[in-house]
Amino acid sequence: MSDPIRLFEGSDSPLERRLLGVARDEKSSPEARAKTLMALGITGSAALSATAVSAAAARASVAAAKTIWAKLALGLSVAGVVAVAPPVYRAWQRHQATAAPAAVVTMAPAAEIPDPTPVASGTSVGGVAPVAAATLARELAAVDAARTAVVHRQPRRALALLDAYARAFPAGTLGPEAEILRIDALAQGGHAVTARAHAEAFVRLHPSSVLAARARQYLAD
Amino acid sequence: MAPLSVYRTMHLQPVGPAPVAARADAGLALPRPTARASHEREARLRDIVESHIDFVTRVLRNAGSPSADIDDDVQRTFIIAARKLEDVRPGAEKSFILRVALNVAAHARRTLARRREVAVEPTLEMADAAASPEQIADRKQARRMLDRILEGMHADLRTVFVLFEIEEMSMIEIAGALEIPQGTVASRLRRARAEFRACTDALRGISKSEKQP
Repeated sequence: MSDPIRLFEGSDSPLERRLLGVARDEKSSPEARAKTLMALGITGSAALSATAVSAAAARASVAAAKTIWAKLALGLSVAGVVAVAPPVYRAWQRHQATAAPAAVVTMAPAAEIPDPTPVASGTSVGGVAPVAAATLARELAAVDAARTAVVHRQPRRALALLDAYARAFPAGTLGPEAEILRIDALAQGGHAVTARAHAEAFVRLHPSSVLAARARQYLAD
Repeated sequence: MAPLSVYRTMHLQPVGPAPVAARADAGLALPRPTARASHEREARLRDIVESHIDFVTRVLRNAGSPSADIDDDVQRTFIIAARKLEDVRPGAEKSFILRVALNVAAHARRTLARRREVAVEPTLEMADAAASPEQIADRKQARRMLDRILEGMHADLRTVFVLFEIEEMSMIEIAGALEIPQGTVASRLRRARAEFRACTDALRGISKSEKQP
């Protein structure tokens, strides 16, 4: 049994070819890729090659970040959970001129961990898109360093790295992933009550997120 | 008691310990793989992600996952696949992850039907980064048309249609991946194509009538 010619190649209808062509052109977003590697516990920064983050993908990352953080800001204000909001959330809120004081456990002085560079320095030959792509790669490297610290059971270092990440990327695309790592690090460091509070806030903000399952572990007891 | 960490269930190198581990309750901890096994597993997982993430994204999107949830469903698909990675023979990863993605999409469709949510604009990437605003708008309209057509298809027909017409899988590959006879694949493809043609004819008719005063 031989296969028929596909409609995209053989259809006499331009509309059919058009509809199928649009679907064929779609690709995953760089955020999805980064978040998937992160969720699987795979070292992300090394895997995020420059070729994988296309210029188009980079532009989309900016739009996606705006959407994500707009939702977070709305969620925080509605849920009234700013008291346990992490620095990255607060920074985003400050950016929106609606900030409120928040209690955050910081276990290492800021000077101990240099802030990751949020954007490439100097003139960008390629324009905005390559810079955004580079930013995502730097974000991934920063969060991945924190993940490595958690894996090696170094909660103080992990929290310091996460604080540095939050300062460098106040509206970072990987904010939710960083917040989950913060919860892990807080629990590792013996701050069970604070970890639980962060976990409760996370589940309220992202009830259907893949990451919510991890936050819910801290609510089980 | 809630289940242990997804990551521990997956026997992956844990991203973070479960709360019980934080209390040094070692009795609940699962045995960890050796460093070499962990490294090999991570390399295989990474390769699967790199090789199939675009495929998984399109399958999810065209099988009915809401566009707003695509990133989460992509993660969900790979996490579920990772749990059973040891049971997947080398070379069969694509078929395996396809079945997982179809299950995730089916679950997403059911959830969407319950929530009765209005679909939002697709967030997927397009291959052409230099598209003009007009082209993007045109693509979005085309995407919406395709969504409407696919949503009207029965899931079985839709799956075969998507895999053959969009993913360019052969009928033999589709039959193997879905574990159905080739004759069934051919039959479903014929019916799906007929529905697709009827819908595009109808859309063309609407467009023509709208242009006429």
